[in-house]
Amino acid sequence: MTAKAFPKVLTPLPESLYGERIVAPGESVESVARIVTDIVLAPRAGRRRWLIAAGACGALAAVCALVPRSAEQGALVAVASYEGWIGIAEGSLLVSAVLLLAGVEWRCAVGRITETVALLAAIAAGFCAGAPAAPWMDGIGLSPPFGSAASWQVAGTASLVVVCASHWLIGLLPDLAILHEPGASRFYGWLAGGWRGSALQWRLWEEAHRSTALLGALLAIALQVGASVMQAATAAPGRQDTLLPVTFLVDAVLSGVGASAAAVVVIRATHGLCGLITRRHLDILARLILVLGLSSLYCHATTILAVLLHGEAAARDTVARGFHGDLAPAFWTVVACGLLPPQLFWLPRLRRSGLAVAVVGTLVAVGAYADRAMGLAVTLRDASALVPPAADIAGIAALAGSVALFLTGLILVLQTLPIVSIAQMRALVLAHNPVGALTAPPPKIPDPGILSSAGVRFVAAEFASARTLAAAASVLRARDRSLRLDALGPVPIPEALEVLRPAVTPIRLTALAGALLGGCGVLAVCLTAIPLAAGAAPWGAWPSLVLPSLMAALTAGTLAALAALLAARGRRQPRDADVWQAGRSSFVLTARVGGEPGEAERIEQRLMALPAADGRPLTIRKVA
Amino acid sequence: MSLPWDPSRDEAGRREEVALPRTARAFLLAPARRSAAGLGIGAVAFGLALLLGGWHRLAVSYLPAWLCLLALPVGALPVAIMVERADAWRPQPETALLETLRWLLGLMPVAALLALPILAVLPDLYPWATGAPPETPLAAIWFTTPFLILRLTLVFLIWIGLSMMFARRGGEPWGKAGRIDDGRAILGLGLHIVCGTLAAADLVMAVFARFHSSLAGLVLLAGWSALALSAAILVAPPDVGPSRRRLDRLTPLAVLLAIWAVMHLVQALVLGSPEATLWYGARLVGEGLVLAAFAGVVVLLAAAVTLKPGEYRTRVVAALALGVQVLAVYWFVTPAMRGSFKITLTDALTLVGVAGMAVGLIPLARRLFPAR
Repeated sequence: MTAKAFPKVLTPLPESLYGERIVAPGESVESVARIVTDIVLAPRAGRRRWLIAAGACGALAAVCALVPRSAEQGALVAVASYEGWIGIAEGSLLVSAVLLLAGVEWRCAVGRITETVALLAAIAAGFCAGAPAAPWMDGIGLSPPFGSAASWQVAGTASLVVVCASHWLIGLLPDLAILHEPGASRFYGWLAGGWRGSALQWRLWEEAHRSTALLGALLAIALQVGASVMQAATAAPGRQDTLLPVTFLVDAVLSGVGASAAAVVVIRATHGLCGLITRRHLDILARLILVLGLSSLYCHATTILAVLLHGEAAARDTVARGFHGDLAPAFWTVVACGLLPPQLFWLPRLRRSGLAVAVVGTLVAVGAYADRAMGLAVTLRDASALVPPAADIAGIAALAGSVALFLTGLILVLQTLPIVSIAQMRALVLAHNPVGALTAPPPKIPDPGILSSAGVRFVAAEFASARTLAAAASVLRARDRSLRLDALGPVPIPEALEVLRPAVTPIRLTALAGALLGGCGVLAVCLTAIPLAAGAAPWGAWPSLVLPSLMAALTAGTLAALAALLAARGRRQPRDADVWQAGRSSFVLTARVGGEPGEAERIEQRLMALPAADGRPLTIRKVA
Repeated sequence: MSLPWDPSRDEAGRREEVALPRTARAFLLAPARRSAAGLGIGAVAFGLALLLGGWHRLAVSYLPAWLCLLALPVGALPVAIMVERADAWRPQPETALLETLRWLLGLMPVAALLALPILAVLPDLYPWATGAPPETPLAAIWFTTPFLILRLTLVFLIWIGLSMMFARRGGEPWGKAGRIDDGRAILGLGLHIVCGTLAAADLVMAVFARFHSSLAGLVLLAGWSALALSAAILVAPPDVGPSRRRLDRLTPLAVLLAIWAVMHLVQALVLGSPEATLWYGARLVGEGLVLAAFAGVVVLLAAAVTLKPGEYRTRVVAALALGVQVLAVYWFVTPAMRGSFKITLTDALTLVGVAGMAVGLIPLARRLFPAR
């Protein structure tokens, strides 16, 4: 795995693609941080209204949570809601992870929103989890409670929440440190822990972010395909189709991208982020929805054609019920909301319209929900389950409560945390404008005071760019290989890492070890402790072995990556607030001074002797 | 980059070749005689296969051999589209791998021409052509010779059109035009998947009357793409210059193999009907089971090698993947007619015959593809 979370700063990139800019002209490292942090820290008139809305949604969710559920009341709508939210969560996580792993640069502006939607949708799914009706679970051959739908839902949702939260938190770490302004609330400082933005931390952060993205993508695929394989294997004729797992996965990603696109449009419009989230982002999101909509269309059309060509009479009857029978409302909702609206994005004008992207994004999520509901009805052979009777308050409460919980979380995240990744946007800005984005920043390290050589532990030098820092580090390292150097910066500094070459255990190995440990542990428990249902064959209970072990492995691997990153924070850093502060918006090289007298002065002289354009620092400070 | 049988080199070869080559291999591979040599070898191989196995066995062997040939351009098409899409806005020159994939697209008309014999042996291959009762009212219309010919004609016309489109470099350098032609990629991939699904259902899955899987089209397309990419990796020379920085040929192959394996697994897990049990029962015994296990090992090996890639390791994995995918084509098709998976001498001779005929027809088909 190579570090690709950031675009390479030195690679020249096009200013605009598709006729639109990927980042507004004039944006700089400073302006990106200011725009995003102002949303959270600066006093704004509308904040109170947002908080009131969050409170109202939270209260609604609390009231809905109090409505009792049973097997008779609300189970079907709750299961459909659960599957709908899980689809959105897994789809958002999958698309976010794949774009991160592929090193797609435009994701920087919308990646955090997608990850947030994934996390909140997973939590909303948890709100609906525990419902007793998931009929395909009956076929897995385990004794209750292990074979019950509720236990599978809780286990799957818990894994998804943990992985989404870990991936989201890792992405947030550098931004939390930026929010920790001097004199501001200690909340962000506490969350950021010992993040200083050193070259080593950046490298570990990139590795951890990519590792959790990979594990998250695998978890999303495993959960979605695993559940749909079980459903397809036990479904009624007309739904028992080998393409069903692919259809589920495509619909999940489509609903995830749709929900994320709608959130992006709303956040962009309400929080003044048009400079960071440009119309090009809308265009690309619309193209994604179009491609996924075509894929979904292919899956549905192929399934119907296969049934009409080779299906049994019962299967053909199920298809006919969808066209003009009791399943028609759900089927035509799928067509009208999930399959047709994405085709609007063949028109370029609509692809760049925020309103169109938001409306179509919401519609495709509704279409995916209708498809899940139709699958449930077919499996239960009872289409009346789709339309809850008047007394079915519990099911409606589950759906309304989960929506309210999602909105509460989204508003709270918007008001308290950076909704656009500052670190990744800074790297993007630097990649597009390597000169103008960091134009001769004023020195941020205060003038060196008079300090006796005996008390000096570090020498800190501030540079205009990562390149000059790397040149200076190279010179110092060439003179004295035992010198302990480190570099701080607002973005990853691979140039400095090539010179410093710190010895550190790769996080991917830690994650792999954690995954193996977690997976093998749960597999051992499954083999020894979980009883099979009466009459069930051991080979028929494969989901009881494979899926939980896989879920545990991926969750444990993610937690191991997170723990390794947190453990690596604050390693060998000078404890000087001014140096840390400077490293958040410019490039700082620190050299640890040994016990030799005059060593700090020698380092200072060597640095000042460098050519101005090739390694000479802007300022130098001795740190106690 | 130099590719085998590059027509632009043929003229130069004719001019430069004054003295007669000293070996038989060099004599046959000379550009002027390559077509005739290919056709001759192909005819001899077909003749031997006919003598050895008779008309029916030759027909049974011809279908998978032709599918292996078809897999090269059909499998190369989506990979070329994706690689082109990923590299479209970069200012660097194309990689040798992408050029090789584009060259493979030129085999599409050859594969279309060599599909004609299949139409002559439909009763030897497909139960519906022998008068088996149709399963559904739509199947009674769908599985008829005229409708099949109509569908295949349409499918191959679209595939040839797409091949001609993507055999040329697409899009514009970003510095010149500032845009990427996404519509071309979406349209190409969409049409390819639809055509591939239809062709897989008509030509491959229809050999077994009672087993149907709507996932089979995607499984076959993924396998064919893995086959074409493996072949391209083996043929493409190492990149030099700026393209070398983008040298990552193994990851796409590992991803394709993983998708192919997961879809196979999903198909096996979902299907529980007696017909499906029969279908898998004929393929997962003896050599078929060994092949399935070996394919799993190759998929895991490809994933593991991505952690420490290298040119030599990549070529080894590609060679193994190519072997697995060629055998997988026979694994899919032949048990329907033979009862179990096995490779016969007729199969080998027919494969040589199809390859020889393809070599012989390349210059003819190349006229559709202007030199780059």
